[in-house]
Amino acid sequence: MPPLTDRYSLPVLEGAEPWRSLEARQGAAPAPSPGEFPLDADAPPRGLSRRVLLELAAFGTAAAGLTGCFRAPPEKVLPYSRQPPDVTPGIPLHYATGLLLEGYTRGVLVRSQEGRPTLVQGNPSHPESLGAAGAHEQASLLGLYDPHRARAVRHRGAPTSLSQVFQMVRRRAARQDGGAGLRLLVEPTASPLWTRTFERILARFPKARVVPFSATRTGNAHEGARLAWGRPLRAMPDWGSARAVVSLDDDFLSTLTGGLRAPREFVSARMPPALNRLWVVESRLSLTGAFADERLRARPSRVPWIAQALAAELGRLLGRDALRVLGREALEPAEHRWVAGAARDLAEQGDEAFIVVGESQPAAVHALAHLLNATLHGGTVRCVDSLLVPAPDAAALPALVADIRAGVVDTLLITAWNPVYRAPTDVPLGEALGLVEDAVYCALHDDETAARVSWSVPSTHPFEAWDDGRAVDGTATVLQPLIAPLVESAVPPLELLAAFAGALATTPYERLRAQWREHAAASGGFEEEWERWLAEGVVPGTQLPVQQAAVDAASVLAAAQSLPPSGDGLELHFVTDVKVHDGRYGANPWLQELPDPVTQLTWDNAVWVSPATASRLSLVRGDRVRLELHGRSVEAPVLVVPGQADDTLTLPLGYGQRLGSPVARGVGFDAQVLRFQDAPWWASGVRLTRVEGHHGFALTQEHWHMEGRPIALQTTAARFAAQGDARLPALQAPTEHLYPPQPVPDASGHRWGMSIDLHRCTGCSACVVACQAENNIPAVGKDQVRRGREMHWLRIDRYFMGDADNPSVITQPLMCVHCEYAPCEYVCPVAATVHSDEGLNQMVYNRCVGTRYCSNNCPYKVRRFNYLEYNRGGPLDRMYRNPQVTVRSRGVMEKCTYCVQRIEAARITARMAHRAIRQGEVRTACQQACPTEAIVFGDLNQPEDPVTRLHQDPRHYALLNHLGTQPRTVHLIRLKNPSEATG
Amino acid sequence: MLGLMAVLPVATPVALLLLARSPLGTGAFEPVQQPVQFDHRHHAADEGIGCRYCHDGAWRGPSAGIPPTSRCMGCHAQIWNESALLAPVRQSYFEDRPIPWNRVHRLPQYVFFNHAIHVHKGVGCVSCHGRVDQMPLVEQVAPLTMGWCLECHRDPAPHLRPPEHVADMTWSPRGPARDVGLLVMRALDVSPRTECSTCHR
Repeated sequence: MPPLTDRYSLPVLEGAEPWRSLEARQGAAPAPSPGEFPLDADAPPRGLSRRVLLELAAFGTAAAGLTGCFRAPPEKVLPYSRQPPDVTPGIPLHYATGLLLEGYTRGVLVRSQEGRPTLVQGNPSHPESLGAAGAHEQASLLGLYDPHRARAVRHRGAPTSLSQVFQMVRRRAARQDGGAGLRLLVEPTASPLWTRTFERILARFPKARVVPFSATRTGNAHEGARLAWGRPLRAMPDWGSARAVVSLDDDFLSTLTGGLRAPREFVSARMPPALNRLWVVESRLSLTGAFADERLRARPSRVPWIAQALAAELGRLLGRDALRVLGREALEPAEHRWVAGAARDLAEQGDEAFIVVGESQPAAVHALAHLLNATLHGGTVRCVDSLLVPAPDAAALPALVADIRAGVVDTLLITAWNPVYRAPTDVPLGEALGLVEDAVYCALHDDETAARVSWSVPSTHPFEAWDDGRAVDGTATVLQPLIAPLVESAVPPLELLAAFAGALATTPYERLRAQWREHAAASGGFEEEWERWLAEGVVPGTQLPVQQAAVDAASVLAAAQSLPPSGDGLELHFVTDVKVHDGRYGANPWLQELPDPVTQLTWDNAVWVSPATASRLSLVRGDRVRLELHGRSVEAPVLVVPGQADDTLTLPLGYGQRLGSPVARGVGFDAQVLRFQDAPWWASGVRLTRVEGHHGFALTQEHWHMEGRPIALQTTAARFAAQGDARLPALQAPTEHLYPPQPVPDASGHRWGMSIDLHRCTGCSACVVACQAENNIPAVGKDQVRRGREMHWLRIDRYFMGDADNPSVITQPLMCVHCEYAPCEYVCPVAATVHSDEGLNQMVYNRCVGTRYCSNNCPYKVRRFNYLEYNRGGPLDRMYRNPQVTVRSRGVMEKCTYCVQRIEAARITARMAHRAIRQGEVRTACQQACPTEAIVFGDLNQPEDPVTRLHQDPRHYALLNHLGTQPRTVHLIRLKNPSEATG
Repeated sequence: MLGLMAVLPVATPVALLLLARSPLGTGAFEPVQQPVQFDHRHHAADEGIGCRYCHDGAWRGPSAGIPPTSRCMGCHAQIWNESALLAPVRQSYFEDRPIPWNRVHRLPQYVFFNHAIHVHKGVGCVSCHGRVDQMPLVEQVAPLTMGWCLECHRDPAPHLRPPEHVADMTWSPRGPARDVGLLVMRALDVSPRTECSTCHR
């Protein structure tokens, strides 16, 4: 039999061939050379030779005795002494609550297994979740069970008791000086309970100050709104009707900075045949830039000028002469093309187009965008009131430090996360804290701030305390606890404030109810209302009214004209990290191990430089450099990232923590060292020198070769509409297959299948964490990831296409595709992986002997092997595991199961009710989490099932179709909508 | 001697396999001591308390469950409320600490068994657990091996009964068991699965 390729030529790639990394593209495979598997992938664990292992094993067998071979050791069963009325052991319950991010709440549903939270999902009733959950909300589960949480109450380093703390707090709250020495250091929040507490404290102590601190809300957006409208409103773009969107360095598709609703609505407004168009100008490749139709890279200080040029061009097109005073700096040809195209699109789409601006841009650019949006939308902009209290203000922290140094402050309550680590480098908060007699810090870890304050108190996790919060659109949620505090001495941060609000006598629950009783008073029947709010996770009628606000054009133009000119030379550019944000998620192993969607970097950060800048400075990946700015310096490794603006050094924040959780400690470098208060987002005048040494990154994209075949496909919408895609027919038609036929599945049963729409996928990685949480997938650590032993069943591959300087990017979620003719099944010597009658490629852990033949034979490289006992853990680690899924041990192969535990649970429910499984009743974890609904799962035997329709969509294709594996998961080609002028 | 040496490599695994499936290997027919001298003969047989009174979970979820101490105290707050035998129960209730029962029926961690679906499809308690109403100390009577499960999953008819008699320890089919079972299968739409992922996930 001739080889298959002779008869079935591999589909040829049209034009630009995708590439996974610069190194691979240049043909210089980095050492160690990655074969199919990375070098060392099967190396034995260090420190324990094979021989020793065998000896130990032999000893163990002899010692265990004969019946030890088959009889499990005796086990205890501990029933409840008093069973809670709702609980049936083995049946999970779901509770609605919310999680706070940057002051605003996102609704979540938490699955609780006999009182243990085991999974965080989105709340479909919540307008900012719509049923989806981002990677961070889901990973917060691990934070609850973190074994490294702070446990001890300390006073100047020595253990003390909570009663001592509250004694001090009461003494300080009994002061009579009007609160002159009292300061609160908090993060801006929209929570009604917190807001009320601040009000009460300020009413009792008029001279006290509530100091806002946030490393990410530096006040730019806030100030920009004040410039435009005279008051702090928040623009609410109508994503669902977006025909053209221009993003000025706004990463709105990231679930961290953009939320979950904007990506959902934006992508839904983008479906073929009527695609909208996304214009992005940014300094580093973000998820939004990767998704853009027209992307421009520009140094950070250049973006305000591009915004001005855009305004001037738009003024010309719309005949608004006032705008034409802007844009004095000359544009480069690429910039000019982008600006002209974007302005034309905006002008054409009118009130279905808008501009969004990232927090890092100066206030004047925010204001200018509001003005342009108002111009496009007939004079006004859709807004809501900003709910953040206290209002973000970058000058507040330096003022606090000055007060402390002046000896004014005797009591400081800190509930903001780790301000010492996050404070601007020229604000010596750490030293100042030592001068405060009673500085109290309430946090989850013994971190840099805890080491500096006089009192450190362990905080409760958000799943352990009562609270409330509001979403961006105002929708309120009562946040209910799911479990009693796992740390005995933990205190809800609000409790420290309560004493000063004169409310220490009541419990947080009572205060919360008292507050919300007022809201219910109008409709009556508080108890029923309260129960309903808790059950649904939203308080009806709390949405903020959308206002149409007119913009003060004169002050905006004046501010825009006074913007400083763009700088020269190398520029530093700070960004919040996609995984650890400003560092607060650094203690979370799931997020640390999550590959960055763009760089695919795990357990690290790096200085991002563009290929051109790297070659100019003769830098390659892993080189170490020293960056110096105004007398501060930091050493960091370099990562060459395509799509990066030239002469721009992007530094992700949130790494290089020195204290706190051992998971975060020493991972990456601390970019905060170079972040000054007058330059929180970019700075020029940096000096870069090469230093000795080489850094080894744990990058996952170079694992799992796919041998240059057409895997992730994209084309332009216009071409697809006109002639389809030449590559698709070969990837859609059934082909001959090498393997003997499977028994024909029973047509009356289910045929489970999945589709992944690359056109909808933004690469946000929520699915990766969802899969990890649902299926008990361990995090393995940097060393193991470097050996290619990461265990993620679902990975998101990222491919670049075209020009290395500004490539096209495509993200592709990939897990086991459940082949109809599965190559893995034919090679397993012990039948540990077999086909089910419903088409699932089942993995039977208890049969697996670990030959790894299946993984070798898998063309998609989606199987994962437990090289070591990754799932060992303490009692806390056992608590968050999903009891419906086996915890795999060493030597066992595993892979995506299509969440078979959910299929079986739905089957049992349906069969007990004597009915069939309903359409949409089985949702996989990845599908459930996906903010843009890119992943759809269902029964291919049901003609009306969405997945059946997607399997017939003209955009669908089967991965590596020429192999004849007939995957049950199909992908849908991604379409781009470049502008005719530039494309 | 040589003959024995030749037989040994074959005989040893065979013997071990047989041993693993014998009651010695599966742990069947060994009464398990418990921290409280709870006697099913008294409660289930003499007093006629149904299985479901304490093991309601079997009708609703995967786990039949051991009743909470509060269930014991429902009666024993009134009767035998000063019995020395019940001291651990009272202690558990008043200290709000669970009674550490010893597990009798234990499946490996990679096996996911669901009581509710079996109960709703007409598998009697007695079919797997034996005459618990005659046991002074509960013991495992079935081998609980995969072969034993599959035997019924492949041919459930002889083992089924009308769902209203599931908890009846003394029920026996009027007529041939297979005929009754086939009627039950038809009425309850019983179609057991034998795919790996039915039990292994």
